[in-house]
Amino acid sequence: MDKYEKCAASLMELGDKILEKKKHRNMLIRRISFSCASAFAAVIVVFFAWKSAPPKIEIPSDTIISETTTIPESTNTDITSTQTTSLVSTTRKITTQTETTQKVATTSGAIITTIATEISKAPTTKINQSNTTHTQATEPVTSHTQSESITLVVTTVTTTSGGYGGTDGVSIVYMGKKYRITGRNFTDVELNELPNSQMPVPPFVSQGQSLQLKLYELSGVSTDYAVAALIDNDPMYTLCLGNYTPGTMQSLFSDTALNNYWSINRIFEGRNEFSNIDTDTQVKVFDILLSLPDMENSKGVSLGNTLMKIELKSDVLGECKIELTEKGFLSTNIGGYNSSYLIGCDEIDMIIESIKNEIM
Amino acid sequence: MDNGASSYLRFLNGDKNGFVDIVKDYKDGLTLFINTIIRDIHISEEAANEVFLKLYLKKPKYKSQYSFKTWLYAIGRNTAINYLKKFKRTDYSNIEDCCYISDEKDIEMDYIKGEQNFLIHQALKALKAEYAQILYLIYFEELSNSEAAEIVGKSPKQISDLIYCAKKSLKAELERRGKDGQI
Repeated sequence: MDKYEKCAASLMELGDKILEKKKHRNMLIRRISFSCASAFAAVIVVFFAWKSAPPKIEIPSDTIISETTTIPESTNTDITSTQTTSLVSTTRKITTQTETTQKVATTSGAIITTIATEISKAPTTKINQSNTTHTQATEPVTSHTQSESITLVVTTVTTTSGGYGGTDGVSIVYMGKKYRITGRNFTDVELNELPNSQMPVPPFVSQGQSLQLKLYELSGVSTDYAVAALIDNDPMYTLCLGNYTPGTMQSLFSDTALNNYWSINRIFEGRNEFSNIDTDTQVKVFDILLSLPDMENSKGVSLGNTLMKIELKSDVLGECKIELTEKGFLSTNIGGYNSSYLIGCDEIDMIIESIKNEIM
Repeated sequence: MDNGASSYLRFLNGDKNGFVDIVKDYKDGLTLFINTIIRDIHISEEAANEVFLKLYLKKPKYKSQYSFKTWLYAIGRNTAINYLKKFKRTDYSNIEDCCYISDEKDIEMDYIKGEQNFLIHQALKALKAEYAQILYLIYFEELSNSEAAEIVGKSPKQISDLIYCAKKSLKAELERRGKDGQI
């Protein structure tokens, strides 16, 4: 082997070593970059999963739903003694899954349903908290009243003072609906059946104060707008307002039971004020309003000056007003939501004339 | 296609003997050419080795526009310039340089045939690097003006002028040295 071959051999050896090093380094870089990319992707996936996941919900202790059907004792002892009474008690367990989390939280609660059915002679039955019944007539009537007792938890406290009843700013969550407990209490109210007596045990958030709550649907009033609640065996009902948004004008009147719960307190027409409006006139005014064409809510428009203002009052739902404006709008804050509907200037004039004719 | 080009093609196709042939054919000439730039036979040899290592590692594409030698010497020139830049920042020990005088002579004796050529090559060392480069390429490597122009990165006209000046300078140097080439 001459010196050139030796030189070439040493050069090739050196070159091979360098190539080997390069190869090794490339492999190392590839591995590291692959690992880093994988780790980074995993971090991104975990981050987005964490961001998209709803807040952790703690499941409260077993919830007891007690569904009781009670027919008060009949005042007529003769009839009571002749009736048959059946008592059915059922105990079952419900498993509820939280809808908003991927993690399944299961809570089990015992539902004790007690149904007591009794035939009594009573054409009308009114029930207050103490389950007293006013029975007057002698006709045999089946009376049916339901109540649902649910342990609810205060989820949002916007004020620091006060407890639940009588304090605005305390919200409760019931079956996915949010209700704000108002300070308005009442006793005498017409109730329908429960909003849904077949509802499963809700996945409440155990944050804040636990409440024992019984919710009732106000007769004719949308449960989206308001429900009546008995809280911790309070003798008074408490008004709970939902996060209500009206659709059309007639649906607003319907949801808020305009011709049922409300009465006209005063009417202003220009500088004229009309108060002490009799019941027949009130009914006619409501009929006029309810006969108006159904209109969509007009948002962000100029309403013009008010031509007529009707102040409404309800012992249960509070106060509100309906205004008829010169630009042809009917504007109202009924339902706790300011809304306005374009009726038309001519129609507004006709309505005002009609109402004036009724009240004068 | 000259011999170097075919050897390089063989090397690119995976035949390592092609690389050995290139080293055999061009190592001394390339080293002496680089020595006209660097003026240090040891570093020139190192630079020449680096040129061959570049060929081995990077396997650059050879364009057949010029001869393989031209292409290789152009790479050698660029490498030599890089070496010059690198060693400008480095101090040398002159005593060490003396040890390589014999090496330089060996290479010259091996590569440059004929007494007269040897004397001329010795005289080239006294010329400016630019003159020495061009005269080495034209007279010892027997390259054409255009090939030499390609290697040193100048136009043919500039090369002609450079050769004229280099010849003049060489003549003066040879006259100064006398018949035996000694000063």
